[in-house]
Amino acid sequence: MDKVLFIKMVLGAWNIRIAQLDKLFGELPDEQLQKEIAPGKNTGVYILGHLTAINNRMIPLLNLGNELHPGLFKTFVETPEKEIVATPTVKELRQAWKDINKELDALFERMQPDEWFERHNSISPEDFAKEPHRNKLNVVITRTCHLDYHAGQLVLLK
Amino acid sequence: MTTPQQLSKHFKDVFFGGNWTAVNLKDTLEGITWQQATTKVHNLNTIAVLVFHIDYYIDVVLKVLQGEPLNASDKYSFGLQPITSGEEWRKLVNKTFEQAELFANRIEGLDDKKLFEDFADPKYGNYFRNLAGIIEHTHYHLGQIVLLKKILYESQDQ
Repeated sequence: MDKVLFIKMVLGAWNIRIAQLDKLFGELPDEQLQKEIAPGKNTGVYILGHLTAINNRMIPLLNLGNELHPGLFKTFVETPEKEIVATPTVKELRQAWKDINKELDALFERMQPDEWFERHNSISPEDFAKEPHRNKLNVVITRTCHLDYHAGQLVLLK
Repeated sequence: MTTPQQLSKHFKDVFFGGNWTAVNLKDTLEGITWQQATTKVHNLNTIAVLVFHIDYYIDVVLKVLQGEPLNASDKYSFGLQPITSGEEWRKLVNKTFEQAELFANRIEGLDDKKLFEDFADPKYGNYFRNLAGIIEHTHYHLGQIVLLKKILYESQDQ
């Protein structure tokens, strides 16, 4: 297996999806993003916050440092939209989305090929010994699918 | 676990469960009646059309994995014949999951090297890109099906 080529393919898919979402968020003005995806459902802003929070959490998960924006996970992953008390502005969220993805891009760039096949921080050494495919690169694959899942919903705002 | 086995697992996870997003097609379609599956919500595709669309691409890619030529057209990918009974709906769902099983088995049996060979034609990229693309495509429309199901169930409760 050509590790470098495999990594390139996985990161390529990730980058394409990030770029597609960048474009989609860019096409949706604030007032459109603030609408519910469907009546009674989450707004586009919540999904933007949710995706940003999950990407932000990837930094410590991959053992690459600390989250750039602590607090996003609690607000946009652990709390349903209707129970959120205080939320960042749309402008702040748009900026956080860009900053976090830029930071991830830079961090990924610095990783050596073998590092991608190491254990991430949410699997124990014992479990990893049994399931080595649950490595850092696998996190990128699952998070790309997560972006896809919500991208399919966000297009409904257009 | 080889890379094709890992891809196969991601594919099976989105269809049958176990993926990181904790949502899968089989559980999501469980309990949906043919009437719900064919109910149009706003201007969106129906659940039945989205299931057909997901299966359409699995079918064409599966044929290539089975040694047949690539024969796909986007314009036919939403061309579901009208569904007018529970039997027709079940037939579509069963066919989708049967194809998914075959597809997963085919991926699992691939050689690592095959992943980086051209998929039918160089313009379509390599096998990895197309197989990962099918997984991402399923997540994308699964996100929409989940949303449609919630809307349909809520409108039924009212």
